[in-house]
Amino acid sequence: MRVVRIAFASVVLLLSLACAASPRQTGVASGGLTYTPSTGSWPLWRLAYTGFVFQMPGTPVLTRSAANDDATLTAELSVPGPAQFTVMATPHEEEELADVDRLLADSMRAAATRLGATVRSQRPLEVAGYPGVEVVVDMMQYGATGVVQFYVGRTATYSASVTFPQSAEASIAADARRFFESMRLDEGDRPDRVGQGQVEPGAQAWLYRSPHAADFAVRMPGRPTRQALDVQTGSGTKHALTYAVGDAGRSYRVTLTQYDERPPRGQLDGVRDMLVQQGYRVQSERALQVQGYAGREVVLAAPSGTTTLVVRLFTTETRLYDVRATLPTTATPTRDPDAARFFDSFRIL
Amino acid sequence: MPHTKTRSLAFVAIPLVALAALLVTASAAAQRSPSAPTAPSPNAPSPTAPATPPPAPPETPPPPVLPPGNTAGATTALSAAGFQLRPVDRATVRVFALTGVGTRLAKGRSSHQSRLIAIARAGHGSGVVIRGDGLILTARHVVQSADTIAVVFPGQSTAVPARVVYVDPDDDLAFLQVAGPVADFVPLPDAPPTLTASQRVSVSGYPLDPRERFPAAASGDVSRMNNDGRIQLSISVNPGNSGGPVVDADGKLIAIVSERGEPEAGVLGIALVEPIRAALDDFRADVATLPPQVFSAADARLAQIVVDFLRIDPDGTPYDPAAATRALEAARETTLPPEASALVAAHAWNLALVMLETNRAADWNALRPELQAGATDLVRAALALAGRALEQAPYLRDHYGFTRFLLRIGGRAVAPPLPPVEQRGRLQGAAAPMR
Repeated sequence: MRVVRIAFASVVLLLSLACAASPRQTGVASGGLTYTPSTGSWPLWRLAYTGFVFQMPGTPVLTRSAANDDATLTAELSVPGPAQFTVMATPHEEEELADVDRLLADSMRAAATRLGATVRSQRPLEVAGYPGVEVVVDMMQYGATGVVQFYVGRTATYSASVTFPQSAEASIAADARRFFESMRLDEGDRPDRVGQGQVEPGAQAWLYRSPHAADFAVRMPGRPTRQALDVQTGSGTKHALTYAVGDAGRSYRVTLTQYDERPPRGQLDGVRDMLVQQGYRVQSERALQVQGYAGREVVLAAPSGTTTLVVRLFTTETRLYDVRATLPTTATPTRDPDAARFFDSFRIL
Repeated sequence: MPHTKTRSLAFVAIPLVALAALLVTASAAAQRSPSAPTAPSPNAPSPTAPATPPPAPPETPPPPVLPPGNTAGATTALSAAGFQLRPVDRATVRVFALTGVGTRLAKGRSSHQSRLIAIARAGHGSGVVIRGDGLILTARHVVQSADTIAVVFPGQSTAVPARVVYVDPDDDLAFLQVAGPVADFVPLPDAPPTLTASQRVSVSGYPLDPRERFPAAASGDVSRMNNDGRIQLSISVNPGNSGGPVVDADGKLIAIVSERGEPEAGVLGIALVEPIRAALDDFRADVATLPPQVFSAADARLAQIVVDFLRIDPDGTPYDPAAATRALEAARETTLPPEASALVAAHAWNLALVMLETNRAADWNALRPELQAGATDLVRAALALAGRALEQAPYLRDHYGFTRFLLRIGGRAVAPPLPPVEQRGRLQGAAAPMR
C-alpha cells in the first residue's frame, strides 16, 4: 500500500536524520546535548501549491522534491541543527483513503518495529478536518527521539516531524509544541470521509458532502454511511454505492449506479414503476434537470401512510443518480426547508 | 466534455480548453489552402494558355458587428456586405457552456515571468431559436455539466444569459431559454416530417472558430435511419456544429446535429442527427407549459463575463477596461452562486495578468501608479471571490481548481516555480513567507 510506503519512508527519514547528526550531536555519544529554545518570532511559511502552512524556528531548506504535475508536489523542508524540524507533502491516490486512521497507525508501528524504533505513544488527531496521527518513537541506538504528525488529505499526505537527541527532550518541548500547533491545512485537500450516518442537530451540520470517487456533492446533516451493493437493472447487474444520513423521522440518501454506457431508455420510468410495485402511490411527477443532466422528480406516499418519499433521478453518460428524501407526511415536500437544502444543493461533479 | 459514443463518432461541441490550439490549426490551414496542390478544375486554363492577369477582387467590406439585441438587422447589415443569411441562419445561435476553471503555469510573453493563468473548461456548440419568447433547441451534450451558459446571436459580440429548461433523458436534445422577444426563429413543425433517402438537407451552426460572428451552412443528403432511430446524413460537420438545426429544402426544421464522424477512425463526411420527432414529443409533454424564466441584469453581466473570459488571452489580449468594470461590478454582487464567484475570480485574475503583460510589468508594484489601483482591485476581488466560493462550496476545488491554486499562491503576480526533481540547497520558491 502506498500509505505504508509513505509511513515507512518517513521513519527511514527520521532515522536518517538522526544518523546524519554527528556523534557530537547525538546525546548518547556526547553525553548530553541540549537544545536552546528559540526566543524570536517564527516566520509563517506556505508550501507552494499546497494548502500547507507552518512555522519553523528558522529558514527551511528544500531537502527533497519532485513535481509530479502542476497540481501535486512532493517536497520536504527542514531546518537542520541539533534538532531537526521537517515538513513534507507526498501525493497519494485518492482510493487509498479508506480506513486511513488504522492504516497510518498500523503502518507507523510496523515500520518502527522493523527498524528497531520503539513506539512510545500514538494518538489520533484531526487538523482542520484532516484525519491524522501523532507518533512518538524512540531510537535508542541513536539516542534520538522523533515526534511525527501525519495529516491525510485527498491527494497528499502531509507530515511534520521533530527529531532531537533524547537529552534535549525537555528543552525542545516548547518549540516542538509551537511547531506542531502552527500547522494549517486549507479546505482544498480536506477529505470527505464517510461516517455513521447520524443526523447532527442544527443548521450548521448541513455541510457539503462530496465523498471521494462519488462524483457528486450534496448538503447532508451529518457524515453519511456508504454501502456498496449490486443492483439488477434492465441492462444487467450493476455496481451501486449508497450514501445515507437519517434518523427515525427523516432520511436523505444518494445512490449512484454505474453503467458501462448511458443508462438504458426508460430507466427513470423503471425506478418509479418499481416503487409503485412496492406499494408506493405516486402523488406527483415532473421532469427536471441539474446542470444540463436530464432528470425526473417523483413524489410518492409510502405504503405505511406515515412518510412521503421524494425521489429525484438524474442520468449522465454512464451513471444513474437516485437522490431521495424520506419525510414525515406532516412535511410539505415543496416547502420543507431541510428537503430544499438537500435537493437544491445536489451537484453532479 | 462528453465522451465519444463510439470509436468512430464524436460529439461536435468544442471543448474550449483546446481553443488556442484549434485556432492556430485553423488559421494555418486557411493560410495553406490557396497554395495547396489541387486537381485542376475543368474550367481552369491549360498550362499553355496565355497568361492573363486575374481580375481584381471586388471591394468587399467586412461583415458588420451588429448592436446588442435581436438579429432583426442581420439581413440588412450583411446584405450591404454582399452576403445573405437564410431564415434558419438568422435563428441559429452560438451556445457557450462553462463547466469549470482550471489552471496552468506559463511564462508571460512580455514580462517573462511565471504566471498562474486561469483556463476555462467550456464547451461551444450551436442552437436554434424555435419560439419568439426565446426558447432554443440544442443538443443535450452541448449544455451537459454546464454551470453557466451564454448565448450569442448571429452577428453580435454581446452575450445573453440562458438557462436549461428541459433535457431529454433518452435523446441528445435540450431546451434553453433566453429573454425574449426574439424576432428570428424557426418554429417546430406541427407534425414530424417524413424524410426520404437521398433527400437534400442543410445544417447551420458555428463550427471551429468560436470567434466567427455568423453561422456557417453546409448541405448534403439524408443517408438512412440508423438502428437507434437517429438519422445519418452525408454532411461534413465539425466541432461546434452540435445542437445546430437541420432543415429541408423549404427551410423546415427536421433535426438537430448530434455527432460527426471521427477522421482519426477513418470516418469522414457523415453526421448523426436527432430527428425532430423527439423534440416535438418533449415540447408537447413537458416544455410547452413551463413557466417563463426571468433574467436579471446580474445574469446578463455574468453571461458576458463568460464570453469575455473565453475570449481573453492573458498573454496576448490588450487590456479591456470595460471587461474589468464588468468583473468588478459582478464581484460586488453578494448573491453570486459559488460557481459564478469562481468564474468572476478567474476572470478578474486573468484581467490583472493582462494589465501586467500589456505593461511589461513583473508584478503589481512595477505598474505605473495610475494603473496600480485598478490591478489591486482586480486581485483583491479575485482572492475574495475565490475564498468565498471555496468556503460556500468546497466541492469546487476540483472543477474550479483555479480557485484553490490562486489562494495557495496568495495572489502573487509571479507564481512560485515547482522545484525540479532532486533539487537540493537553499529554498527557492517551494515555500514562501506569507504576507
